[in-house]
Amino acid sequence: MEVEQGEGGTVITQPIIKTEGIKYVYPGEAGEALALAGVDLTVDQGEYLAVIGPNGSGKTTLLKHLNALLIPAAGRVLVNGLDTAIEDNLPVIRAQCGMIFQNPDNQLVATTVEEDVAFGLENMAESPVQIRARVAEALKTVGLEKLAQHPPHLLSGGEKQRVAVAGILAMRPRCLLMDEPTAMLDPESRAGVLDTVRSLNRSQGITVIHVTHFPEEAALADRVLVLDRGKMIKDGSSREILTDLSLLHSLGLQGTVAAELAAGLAKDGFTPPPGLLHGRELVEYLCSSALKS
Amino acid sequence: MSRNITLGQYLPGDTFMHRLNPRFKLLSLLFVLTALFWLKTFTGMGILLLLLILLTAAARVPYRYLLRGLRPILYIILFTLVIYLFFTKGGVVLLRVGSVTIEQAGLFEGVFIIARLIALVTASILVTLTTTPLALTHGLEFFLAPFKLIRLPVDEIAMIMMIALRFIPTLMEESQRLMRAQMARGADFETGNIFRKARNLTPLIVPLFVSAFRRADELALAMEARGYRIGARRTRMREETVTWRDWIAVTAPAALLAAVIIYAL
Amino acid sequence: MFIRTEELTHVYMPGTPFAATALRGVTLAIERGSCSALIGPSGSGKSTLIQHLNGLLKATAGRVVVDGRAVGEDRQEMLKLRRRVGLVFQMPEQQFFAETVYDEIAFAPRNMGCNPGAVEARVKQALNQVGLDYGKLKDRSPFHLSAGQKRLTAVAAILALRPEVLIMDEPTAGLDPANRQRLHDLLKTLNREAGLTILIVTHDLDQAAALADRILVLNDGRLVMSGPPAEILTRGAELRRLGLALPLLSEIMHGLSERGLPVNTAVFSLDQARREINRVRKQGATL
Repeated sequence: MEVEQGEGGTVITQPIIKTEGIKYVYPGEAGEALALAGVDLTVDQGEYLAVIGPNGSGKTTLLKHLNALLIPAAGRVLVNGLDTAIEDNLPVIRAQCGMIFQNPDNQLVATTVEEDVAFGLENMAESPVQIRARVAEALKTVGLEKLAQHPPHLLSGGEKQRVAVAGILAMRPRCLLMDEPTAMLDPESRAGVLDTVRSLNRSQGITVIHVTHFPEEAALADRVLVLDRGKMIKDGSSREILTDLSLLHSLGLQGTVAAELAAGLAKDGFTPPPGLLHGRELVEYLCSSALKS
Repeated sequence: MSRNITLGQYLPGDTFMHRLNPRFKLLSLLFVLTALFWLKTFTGMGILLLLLILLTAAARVPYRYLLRGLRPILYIILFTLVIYLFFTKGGVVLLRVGSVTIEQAGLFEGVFIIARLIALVTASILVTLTTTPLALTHGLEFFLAPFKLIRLPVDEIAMIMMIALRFIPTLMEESQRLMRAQMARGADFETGNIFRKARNLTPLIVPLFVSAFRRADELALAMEARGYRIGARRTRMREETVTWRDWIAVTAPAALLAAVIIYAL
Repeated sequence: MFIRTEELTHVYMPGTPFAATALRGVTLAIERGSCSALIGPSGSGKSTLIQHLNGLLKATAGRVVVDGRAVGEDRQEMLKLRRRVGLVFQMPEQQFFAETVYDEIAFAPRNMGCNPGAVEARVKQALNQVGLDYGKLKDRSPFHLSAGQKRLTAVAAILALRPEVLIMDEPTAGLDPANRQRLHDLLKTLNREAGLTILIVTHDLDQAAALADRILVLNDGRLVMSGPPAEILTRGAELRRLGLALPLLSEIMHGLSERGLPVNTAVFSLDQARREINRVRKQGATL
């Protein structure tokens, strides 16, 4: 299957990611529970998908399958139609699906920001002229062009994560995989990284798959997956899932603060509209109906 | 604090010294150093020192940076001078205190030797101040290229050097932090004999290793995710362009070396 | 006052081109038995400040006074101080080096020169305090515990000093919500039942408001605000200007207040927010 690729906007002829019954056991843990126990997932180009679940539910393991860092023991993963189990597909898959890891320190390779952003392109054996142009462009997109010559160890955590995003962007990916990218950041940096990613999804149509344990971050997504013990137990819109408090609480997870507060108020005789997800919606509801008599 | 740890000596700038191709820069350093060892006359030494002064000015390197680089060898310089002053005899007696004399030959040779030492260090510092550690690595990689013939994995060695350069500041910062953390638990890294001290380092070394291995693991994964494959063809963002300046930078010291040899300067 | 700093100033690598001023004349006081939170954006000097309180860093100018005695140069005094003021670093499980949980926690009391019996008593008590099972865990490798157990073990390793003050830098960094809650509960218990004076350092106003009875805000090496959470959280605009995200609940309450509802914006828990909204509804009904 071939995909016609236009500049910027892409003609969608097939899902960017498709997994078919993938199973995985970490080596040396034979006999233990499966890290993934048969996951079927289809993600279309341009979606923003959040993956949530308790610790050890297989979120990271799933993510690592999507750019062939792990190969399923059973089932298969197709990235833009390419099977990750076939060695020859790897360069294309890695260029199309970039991954951002949790620890900002341990994913930067080079001694200056621009050299680091260039790393992926160098691996793709692009021409130096092409590399320099795309590095400059990517750094501009994440707003770090001023830091091009800085050594990574002088950057803040948030800046490092944005350098990592730029390094992926420079490869012109179709899909961005993020494994708890803000877990080690302070709130301000966190907002910077999330804004960057959100606008890439909106303006360039880059698919985002975002593993997180913050409900407010998952609420940024259009669609949310819930994993538990290697199985996908729920797949739906972020509004539907992040307000399903009985499901979330049964897994030791939480809904957004607004959803939790709305649920509490419902017990006091308020009648918040179903699917209330964001703080501003709660404020709107309280101001417009409930508290104005 | 990471901000206090600078690696190498690189002093950012945009002079012709900074822009020289690192291979050519290293090659010309090699010529300058060889010339230094061939030099036998004060005329030759004068020309070379003048050249270094001009280059320092051209590279806009403040002199205090050179002085800071010379500080570690200050004692060697003083020691050498003293040895020559007192033990090399010949020529006019300049100073006599009892049976100890300082003679002309001692003064001349002593001054010549320390001039050579200072020039040697200055030339090397000039190169490291105007070349990023990464460019230096690329330069060295070029000189290692012939070893590819004997199957030495030169590209991988260069990658290892780059990663080392990247992580040294991080690990230094981490070891400082660990040291304080263990001191907060009552650890003592200062007192005791050498064996006790060595044993006391366990709470420092074990976590450092654990962390280094974890970092290596995660980094390897991140590199793989970004398409790095050992042995695959890679390109470089920086083209090693060669301009007429680079040729001058190599021919000038080569000519100097030739002149030194031919005219016995 | 139990701990106080007077015009505390710290410059890293003074007299070099890399000199960086981290603290600029900080004067603050922490009362015995209190639970305070030190918050501020990255690079505001929080970590530098707490390392002065047990003598790991020395003031460039100004001084630190603990229990009436100025922190000085004397080595013996310094070692005593470190026992009284326990400091848990960020991600403390990264300091693990021993083969067993027992040895890990015994490190501090052994450094103090305790005899084996006293060491054992302290290890037992420390594990007990953090709610871990001594019998089950003492022979396990600290490297193979769960994330939550590791963090608790690291706290126990400091509690084994039997400190009067416990300082924790980003106590819940990297923990999931369940373990975060567990650590919060532990800190509350240590403060209220064991009477420990507690100081936590955090980016997170939510956490500061939930735990502390007093919040100290540091910015660019200066103490810019200090007071009870109820007061600090009403200063939303100032906090936002410092780049500190308001607790999500406070954002909602501020939203209501901006729309003209007379709610108290300083709420720290869902229950409080619920009560506050109900109160306003009742008032509205009677108006």
